[in-house]
Formats: sequence, C-alpha cells, structure tokens
Amino acid sequence: MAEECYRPEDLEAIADLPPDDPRLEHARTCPRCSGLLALYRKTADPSRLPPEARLSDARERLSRTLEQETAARRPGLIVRLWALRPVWGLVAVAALVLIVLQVGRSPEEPTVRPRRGGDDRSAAPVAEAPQSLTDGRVRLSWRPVADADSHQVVFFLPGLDELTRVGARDRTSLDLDLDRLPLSADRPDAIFWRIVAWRDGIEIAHSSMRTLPLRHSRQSQ
Amino acid sequence: MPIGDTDHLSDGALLDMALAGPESEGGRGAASALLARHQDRIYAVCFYYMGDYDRAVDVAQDALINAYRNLRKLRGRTRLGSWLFSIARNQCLSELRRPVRTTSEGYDPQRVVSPEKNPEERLLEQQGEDALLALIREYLTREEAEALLLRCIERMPVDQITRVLDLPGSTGARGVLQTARRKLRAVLDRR
Repeated sequence: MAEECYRPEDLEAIADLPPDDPRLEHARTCPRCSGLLALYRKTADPSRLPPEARLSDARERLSRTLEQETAARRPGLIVRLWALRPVWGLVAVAALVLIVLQVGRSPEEPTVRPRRGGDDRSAAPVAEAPQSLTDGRVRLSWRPVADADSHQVVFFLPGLDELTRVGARDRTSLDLDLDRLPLSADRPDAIFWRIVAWRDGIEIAHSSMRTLPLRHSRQSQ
Repeated sequence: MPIGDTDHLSDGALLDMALAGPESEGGRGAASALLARHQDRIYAVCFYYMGDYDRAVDVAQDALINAYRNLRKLRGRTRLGSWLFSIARNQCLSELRRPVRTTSEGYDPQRVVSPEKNPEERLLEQQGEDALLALIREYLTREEAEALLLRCIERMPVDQITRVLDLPGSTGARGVLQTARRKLRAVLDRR
C-alpha cells in the first residue's frame, strides 16, 4: 500500500469530492484505491442490494441487536454500593451493636453429652475445613472421638433446619458429592455441617458447626 | 432524558448527544438512533464482502456492537460514514481471514484453498503487496486490476465483485479475473 493510498477512514471525504478534484487523481492510477472507492460508493445506496441480500430481514435482526445492546444495563457493583451510601450509617450502627453483643461471649464450644451411666470421658469430635477433591467431590474431615463406634455427618440449611445425615464409613473423613444433597433448585451458597459421634446407638458428642460452601457443585453443573 | 423523534437531528447532533452522556438514557438513545440510521449501509458492506445473508448479518451484528462500544473513540476529523465502513470492513476481513474449517458443517466452497495457488496469491506471499500492485499496474487493465485486488486483498466473493464494479457480460468478474490471471501467469513465467 503506497503512502498516498486512501485510508478507509477518509473514504467519505474522498467520495464527496467533485470529479475534477486533484485528490481523485490517485484513484485513477491506483486500482486498489479505486476498487475500494467503488465499493464505498456502492454501499451508499443499500436499496440497490440484490434480492438475495434480504435487506428487510437483515434490518429487523440488526434493529433487535442494536436495541439489546443499547438497552439500560445494570450498573456495576461499585456504582450500586455508592448509590446506597445513605444506608451506610445504619449498617455501621447495626454492625457495632452486633460486635458489642458478641464481646464477652465465649466462642461456641463443642458440646459433649455425658455417656449413659454418667461417664464423661468422651472428647468431642473436631470438624476441619472442607477440602475440594480433583474429581469434584468435597472431603469432610474430622478428629474422631476415641471411644465412638461410628461417626455421622449432619447437614443443616442456612436457617439451621436439619437437611440430612450421612453415615461415615471412614473413621476420620467423608468424600461427598455435593450434588447428591437433597437441596431444592434454589440452593443456597453455603450450608452447615457438624460431625456427630455415636456409641451403642447413642449420640455421645458432636463438633461445632462448620460452613460448607456449595459453589463447587454449581461450577461443575 | 428519554429521546423522542430524532429524524430532525443531524448525525453530528446525535453523536454529540451520544458522547455527552454515554451511560444516560438519552445518550444511549442517541447512539442507537444514530447507528440505526447507518445499519443498512453496514449491512451492505458486509453483504458485499461475505456474499450471503446469514454470514453478512452475523458480521454486521458484530460490527454494530463494535461501533456502539467504540463510539466515544470517534473524535477528530474522521467522518462517521467512513468510520462505520472501516469497522464493517475490518470485521469482514477478520472473518474472511479466519482459518478454513474442514468439517462438513463449516464447508464453504469459496474459502477452500485450491491445491494450485493463483499467480496473485503466489506473488503476494513471496514478494508482498507492493510487488503485486506494481505488476498489476504495469500489465493489467484498470478493470482487471480492480477485480483482482478486490478478490485477493479484500477477499470479496466473485459475484459481489461483479456487482461492485458493475462488470458487464454473462461471466462478469469471473471472466475478468481469468483474463487477469492469465496475463499475470505469462509475466511471471517470463521472469
């Protein structure tokens, strides 16, 4: 492409020139520019497109595209947060009240129920953070109770209603397919779980509640 | 500000409104009205390049969206018509330059590369566009040169070249291209 060749962005100005304008001289000697100029001029009147171009159908589809693209979009997170600034004060006060209420309260201790017969030797199981496995499942692990004969994982919905119980074959862990949990279509982002230790058909202790994020199973869907 | 009837507004006025408040309802409405005014032309460009309705509409949709999202870059001396033409042309060229798909689903006879390359393709590959242009200018008529360049540089389908250049006769651009290639082959063989 020679230096004097027309840039496509200049074609409108070139096409509007009177035929004797010296700037059109280049088009007479450069077949590339004259071809491009011919194309530009040809597209000036789309009604001359052949019938197989189906201009009216195309117009309808393009109008829809334009309508969708230029429709109002939901503002970004920062914009929405900024718009909520009158509420910030209330949120701060509420947070402060919650903090004050929490101060002085001891963190939730694992509950240890006395064994039948009043023997309180059983320690509580300790639930550990869930781990994602490469096959998409999640491993729930815990430190078991020494004298328990089985452990069971109990799941709770965000409102702390019990969702289901799953018996653990392994003494210290359970590999779980989250999609198998009996959740409705409107599943929460996270649920809770705890480990319960059993002996002789009696629940002897349970761990504190832990969060179980469900986003892993969403991604795999 | 909702935008009402825009027929009385010039392209320039709509563009100013669109650029003044790109996120406002009025700004978006102005941009939409402005591009709607030019969408037929964008489609025409795409149809001449792509050669069939479906592909042309697909590319024109992309071009329209691209134009809307980049409208704020349209400042200075570039005129709207040329700018939209450039966007549509670039969109078409990128689509046409994508690798040829070999599955039956994507089969397109116009894009299948023949085992023996045309002389202009060989020259273009070996010596570049300037060498091809020099040779074309020297040995081909203006009509042949324009047709050949629209085919090999702009990748335009043969039928559309016939339309763009208003080539007469039953064979249109096909005949002109055959003559041009025959001449080029002869020149290259002599060298």
